Amino acid sequence: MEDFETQLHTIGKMGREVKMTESESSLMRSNIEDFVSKNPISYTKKTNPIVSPYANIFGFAKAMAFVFVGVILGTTGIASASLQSLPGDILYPIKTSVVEPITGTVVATSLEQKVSYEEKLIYKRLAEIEELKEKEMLDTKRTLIAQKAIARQSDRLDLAIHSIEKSNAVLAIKTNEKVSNEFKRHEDMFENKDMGAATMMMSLSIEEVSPKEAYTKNIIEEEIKIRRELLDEKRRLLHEINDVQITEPAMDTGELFEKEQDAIDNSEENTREQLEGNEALRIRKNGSISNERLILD
Amino acid sequence: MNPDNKKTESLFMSAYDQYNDAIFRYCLFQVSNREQALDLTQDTFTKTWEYLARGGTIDNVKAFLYKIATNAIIDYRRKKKSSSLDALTDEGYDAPEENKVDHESQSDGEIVRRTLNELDEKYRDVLTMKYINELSVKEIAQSLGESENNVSVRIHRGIAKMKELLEQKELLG
Repeated sequence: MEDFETQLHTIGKMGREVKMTESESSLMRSNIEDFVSKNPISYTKKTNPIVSPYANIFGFAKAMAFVFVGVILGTTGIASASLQSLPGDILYPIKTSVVEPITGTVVATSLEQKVSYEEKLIYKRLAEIEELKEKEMLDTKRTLIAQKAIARQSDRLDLAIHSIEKSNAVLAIKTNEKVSNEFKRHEDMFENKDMGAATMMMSLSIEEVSPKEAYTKNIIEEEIKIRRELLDEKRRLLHEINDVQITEPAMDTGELFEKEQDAIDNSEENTREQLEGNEALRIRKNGSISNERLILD
Repeated sequence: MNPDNKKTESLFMSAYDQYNDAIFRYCLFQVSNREQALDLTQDTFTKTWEYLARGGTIDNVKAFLYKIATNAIIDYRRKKKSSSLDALTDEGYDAPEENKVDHESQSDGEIVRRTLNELDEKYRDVLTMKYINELSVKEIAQSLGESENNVSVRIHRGIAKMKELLEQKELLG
């Protein structure tokens, strides 16, 4: 092997005598020089830039701006999608607990506007139940969720009405009246229409109370509650404004409104009729006559 | 022109003057075609300049030039593979008279060079670099991107294989 390596070195030495001819070398050199002149060095040496002390802050701010915009866009998208949701949908709680309250703080700047906004929302809650029923989606779970939503919205409306009872009693009474009528209309609707045998069976097996019964009971209780509050408010208004005394023994409710026509407008007349109707409803429900009487001397 | 750029150009042309024959020789032993070896040599230097012009830095010019030349040779072999002379010959192609080898008139050195070309590329590269171009193992390793130990093993095996081929041709005995 060593002899062979020596032979290789010898061959290599001979090989190293292989060269370009003078003309080949000079021609190639000329070509390369031409190439170099046509392709000058194009890069510039990098210098260390002066870094602003605020660079990181602005970078952070920029990143946060992107995050903020992303959150806004994402939230807006969810909020927008939630507006179409119905009781039982995933986004429904976002709609009722986040989007609508926030919207209310923006669109309702006065107490009266707040009442109007909450009033619209309670109609919306009722409309949602109608929509569920039309789509044949009103099962036990959705019914219960819808009822809770109505109860919560009713509380919000009561709170809003309470805030204007002194400053705008007429609007408070009118709103109560309109809402009562709307509840009455929906109560009738559910009483007159069958909710479907399947839903009834399912609800009975689960809670032994049908959605229709639960809903109706809820509406009646809510109605009675509103009516009592309305009566209390009327009593207080009549006492304060017209120096009217409220005493025992009892007198007929109709006489009260006939005497105080100047203080109570036509809407109150309607309210009174509803009161009587509700009283009758309560009689039907409980099987006894309430001992409550509003008496006027 | 930027003085630094002028200096770079000057150094580059000095490298050409110093290594043009060595690169040409390396290419010639690899491709066995003078014209092709000239083209590969020129390509090696132009590609090196392109690298410098883009802002590249070179620590070892000699090793860098061999690396570029090796890559150029590999490209050439790939292109040639698709239209291999051997394949054409198998199909009945007759090479021109000037390319035919007169074995009787060949010197021992020419036979060894041709035997070198019969080796696998990985052995031929290292043997050419070591014995024709007199590169150190370290420089060969840098040029091929291999470890020095790997290059040493490859040289040893290449020599053994070449000896075996030459014994078959009864040149050694």
